[in-house]
Amino acid sequence: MLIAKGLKKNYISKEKNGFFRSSVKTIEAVKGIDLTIEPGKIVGLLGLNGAGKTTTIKMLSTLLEPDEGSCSVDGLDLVKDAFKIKHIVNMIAGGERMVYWRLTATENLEYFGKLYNIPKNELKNRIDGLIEFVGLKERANEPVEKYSKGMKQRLQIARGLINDPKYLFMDEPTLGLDAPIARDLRKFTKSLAREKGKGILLTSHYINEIEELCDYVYIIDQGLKIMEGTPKEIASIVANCTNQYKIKMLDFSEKLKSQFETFLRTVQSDYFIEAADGGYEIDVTSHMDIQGELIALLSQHTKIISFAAMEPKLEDAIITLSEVKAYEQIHA
Amino acid sequence: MNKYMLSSIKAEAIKQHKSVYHSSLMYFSMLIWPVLDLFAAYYAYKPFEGSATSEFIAKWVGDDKIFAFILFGSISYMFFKCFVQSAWRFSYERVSGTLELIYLTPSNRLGIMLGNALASLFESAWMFTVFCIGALVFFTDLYISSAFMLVIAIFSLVIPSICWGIFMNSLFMFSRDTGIFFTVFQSPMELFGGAKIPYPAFPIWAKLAGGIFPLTWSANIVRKIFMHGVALNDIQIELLLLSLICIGLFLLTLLLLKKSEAYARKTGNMALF
Ligand SMILES: Nc1ncnc2c1ncn2[C@@H]1O[C@H](COP(=O)(O)OP(=O)(O)O)[C@@H](O)[C@H]1O
Ligand SMILES: [Mg+2]
Repeated sequence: MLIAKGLKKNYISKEKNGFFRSSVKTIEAVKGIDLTIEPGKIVGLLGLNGAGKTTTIKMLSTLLEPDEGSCSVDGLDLVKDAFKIKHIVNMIAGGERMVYWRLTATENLEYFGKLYNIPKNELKNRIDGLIEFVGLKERANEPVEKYSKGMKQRLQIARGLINDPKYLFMDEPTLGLDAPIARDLRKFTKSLAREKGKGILLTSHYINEIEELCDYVYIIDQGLKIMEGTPKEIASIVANCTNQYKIKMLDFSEKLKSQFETFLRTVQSDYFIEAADGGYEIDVTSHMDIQGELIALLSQHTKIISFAAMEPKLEDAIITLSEVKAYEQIHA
Repeated sequence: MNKYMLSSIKAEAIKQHKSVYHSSLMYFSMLIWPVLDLFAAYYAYKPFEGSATSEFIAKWVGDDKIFAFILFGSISYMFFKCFVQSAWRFSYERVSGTLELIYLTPSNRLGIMLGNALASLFESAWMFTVFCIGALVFFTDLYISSAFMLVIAIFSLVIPSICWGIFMNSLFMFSRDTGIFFTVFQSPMELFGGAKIPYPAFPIWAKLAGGIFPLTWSANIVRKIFMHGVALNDIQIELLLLSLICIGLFLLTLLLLKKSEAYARKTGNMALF
């Protein structure tokens, strides 16, 4: 079991303000994160760009030392036993540059395998197995530069499994991949946990991906956890805090306008209107489900041409959740 | 951690070799360049034959020994020359992200630097063989005093050049501005390292500048062994200086490796300076 408690990481960066002058800026990338990963389970880390996902993953994979907090990986200490932990964890990040293009898939895996000092015969068997697993068997002895993006990504997965890690951290592995390849990759990920019993931490900013794969989800924003739960719980919360409606209607009279705005104020929601061929189009964003009320109010005054409730968006949910969190902190 | 040393050296040497020598054209150019280099050096002296400059060099080298002087200088230089280039190439691993993947593993970091240097040295060793055969064909008047001194000559080339190689590798790997090292190391080493101009002919400041390059002493030792048939006693000072420089380079490399990884873990920044 991997148990992290209160992980914190600051980056100190120098900013140039001229030829000779520079100032130091501290970026609090991760401000205290707790998480647990069990073998055989997929844990999701969901957050917008800059939320601190990569920083968290780098701390767990021993590339970064936490400024504060502690983490134990099967009883080993993340800082003191970093070299031992390297044997039982591995990381996969998106980005196709991160293998040797001039080498073949087999040669790439041999290289990384030797860095783990895996005995020759065992390494050979493992490489054969991995190449089969990621479906690169036919092309295993071609240089990587001839591979497609998806094949490079699959090689990257094989590389991440070369030390047969107990815990695998995947940093936005589907970023920039075409839909079918991303789907394949999700299938892989699932079988890694279910069949091979690996504990997986997966970061993403796609809520659907997280919903499909994860057993448990943490949502982080600006370095802080704002929510955790099962994907079902998360999805329903996300759906609840971002309700977006697109309504097309015939008229928008002054009377309707004033009643409409009064109503939206009571539910703290915003709207946006524009004239569209022969009528008006309204976008409403709300933290609450106000579908019934909207239909009732509008249909009293005008004819509704179309009414659409939009898919919940993670961005909106996170903004709402962090607002709620800030509110709770002030009033705690 | 020591059992990781060997497998890291081997893995890195093989990887480096495979990613650089991926075509047979590379082997061909490895042969062509040193030969061109040698002729360029020789004909740089040629026009001055009988002139004051030539007299000047002959004064230090001996009239009949100019070609041998250049030959053994070139051989020595070849052992060191490849490292600036290969370290610069190696440093791309920081930019492309593969260095981070190496840091993910429990590999021996010094082993990686050594393996990489050894792969580059392969290039030199290949040329060395070609050159030595050439030298033996053209000069029957080599004055090696014993087989033991031949071994000393080879060691004085191989060990310092590997120390130089791992130092260059770590310097380039952990620096943001590698361009400056090209300027600082490549040409000065060629000029002041005594590969083409006799070291004793330098003014004192150039002697000091040249003295810090292991090449200076390696070339010196190799020439004395092959051209003057010296015994171990006659090159004690050179061997001592060379050993000190090697130890210094080795310790600096260890320090750079330690510091840079700790710095990367603290700041998330792979470049130390
Ligand atoms: N090496 C670094 N130096 C300085 N700031 C950094 C560095 N890496 C990340 N950051 C900053 O830390 C914050 C968190 O980044 P990151 O962990 O990469 O987030 P995410 O992966 O969720 O997009 C961001 O504000 C980012 O700009
Ligand atoms: Mg990221």
